[in-house]
Amino acid sequence: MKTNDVNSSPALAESEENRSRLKEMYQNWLKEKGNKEKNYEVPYLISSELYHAMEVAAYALGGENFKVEDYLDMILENHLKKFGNLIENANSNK
Amino acid sequence: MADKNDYVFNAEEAINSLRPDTPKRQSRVIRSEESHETITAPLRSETTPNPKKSSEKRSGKNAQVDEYMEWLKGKTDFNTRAGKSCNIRNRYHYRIAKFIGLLGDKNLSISTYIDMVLGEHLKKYEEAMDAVMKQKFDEMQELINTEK
Repeated sequence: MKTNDVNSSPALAESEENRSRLKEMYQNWLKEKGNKEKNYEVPYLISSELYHAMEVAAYALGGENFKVEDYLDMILENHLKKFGNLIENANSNK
Repeated sequence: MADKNDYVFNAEEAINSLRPDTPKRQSRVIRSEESHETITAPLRSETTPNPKKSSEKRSGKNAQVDEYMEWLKGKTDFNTRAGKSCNIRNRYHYRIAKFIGLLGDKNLSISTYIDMVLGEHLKKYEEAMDAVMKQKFDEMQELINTEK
């Protein structure tokens, strides 16, 4: 098996791209919300499996100061930024 | 030093060892012979909303909305009793509530929606997280070695 083929595989390139995207996402969140007051007021239940995965990922990404709720905040912000307007605009145009 | 090079980090195995009750996920493993590195790549879900792909197939924003709706149809309920509590911003709560109201799906709750978004994110960035975790682990290992 040629190692060069593995190193230049699309899966590896995608993984690299996702890694830098994830770090960029974190940096943006830190810049916009990191130092501001975090008003996480509304409680929701999420599956414990995802919670623990998020816990580990949050620590790896931002260390001790980046909590699970911060990570969830970052994910929701990105998701709503990406799809929120799309759905809201589609419904308002109906 | 030889020990360090031989070390193969597999986050999936680590996660599965912590949760023996849950069914193991399928994945393919790419092994690089030169670097002795193992990269675990998850099998991708076909239901992932991908705006780029949808715009290639069907033009316009409506295609993206359709694809997003399709993705939402694949929702799965989870056992709330075994769930963990996590707080979100009031602003996001209102926005998601409004959003779900617009979708008009009575079976879709805010908790399920958040769970889906979170699951989707973790699935998409699984490999990236493995790499970040490995990096963090290496940093910690190095710190321990220097302290010795």
